[in-house]
Amino acid sequence: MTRASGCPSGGERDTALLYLAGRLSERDATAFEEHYFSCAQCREDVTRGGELREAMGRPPVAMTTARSRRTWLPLAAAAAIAILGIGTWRLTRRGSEETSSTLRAGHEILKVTVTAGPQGGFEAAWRAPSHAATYAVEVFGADGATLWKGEAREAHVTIGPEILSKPGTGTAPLVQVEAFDAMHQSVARSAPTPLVEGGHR
Amino acid sequence: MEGGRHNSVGHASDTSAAPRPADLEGFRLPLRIFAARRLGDWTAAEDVSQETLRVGLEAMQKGRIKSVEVLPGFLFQTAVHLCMHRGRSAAREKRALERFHPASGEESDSEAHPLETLISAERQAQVREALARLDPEERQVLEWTYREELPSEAIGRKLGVATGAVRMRRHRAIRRLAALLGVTRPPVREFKD
Repeated sequence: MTRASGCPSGGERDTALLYLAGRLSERDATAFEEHYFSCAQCREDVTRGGELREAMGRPPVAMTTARSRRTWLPLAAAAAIAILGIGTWRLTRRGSEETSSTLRAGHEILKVTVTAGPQGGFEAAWRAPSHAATYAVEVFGADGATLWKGEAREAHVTIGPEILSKPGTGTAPLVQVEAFDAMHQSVARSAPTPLVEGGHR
Repeated sequence: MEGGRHNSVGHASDTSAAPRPADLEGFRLPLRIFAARRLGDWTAAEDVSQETLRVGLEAMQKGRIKSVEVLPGFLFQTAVHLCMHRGRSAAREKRALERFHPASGEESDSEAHPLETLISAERQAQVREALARLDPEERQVLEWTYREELPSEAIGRKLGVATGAVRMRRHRAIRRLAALLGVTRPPVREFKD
């Protein structure tokens, strides 16, 4: 059997079912979300599937993001506390325009370099690990609270200057990057690296 | 009413046509699902869905959305932005609450099923009623799929049919269910044997 419609997630696969059941990787789930907004067939599959799941006593959609958030935040908070002293020390060194740090995460080291970005923001860049497909980037305060979070497919990301005006960022905003392979397995992680506005001093 | 471009968007043959407010309706439930998965909170998901539709309507009325074709992308980007904003606000609120009520952190840990409901109780009753009116074979495929979360391959083994046949039966059952629920002309996914 083959599928005749133009939908790449369609009749030969159970993408909508796997999505609602939380069995897609975060990367695939995000890609499917972008797709089903534009695809009437898949949007219908998601809509009816959500209704049916709930009518049958299941949560309408599994919350994969919430799970990953619960695993990511404690790690980030613990790491932030561990390097707070170093981070504060680095942030007080206002002569440097560039800073970086590394951490062995059990499998591969990720080195993040922070430089001044456009319009007072920051550019964080790192060397792409061999099996990395996506990167989760998070900026957090010294108390471990998330200030900004994003995903990147390239080995760099631009962080806007507004991050400096957020509550709790007065002393030590830190950026941490984790690399994931195509199966959404973590392959590398950086240390929380001080976010220094190198180009503005 | 849910559905695709055939019914809810309404411009099947001309995607360059200007969108109409009614075109937004087909995105209401997908937006809730999208936001619920990302935020893990039904109330917040409902807010994001409503706000996304409001922003879409406003953009439409100001002529910023030129064609039906670009409407899905506009809504998707708006919803992503609102979810990110909501997530940050929620984190700030949670920290503030924890400062005043340390025990509230324990409460949030018990969020095993914070999605209280996706659809109204009335709608759930309608769905169950429609399910009951399906043929037993159709209902069985849907129950194995959505209640048991069995993959198509496993259902195929139970029924002694090919995986593709399971998907086709499920698709037909969903179309029948949609018709019973009053969704006119749901999109047809085409299959070839």
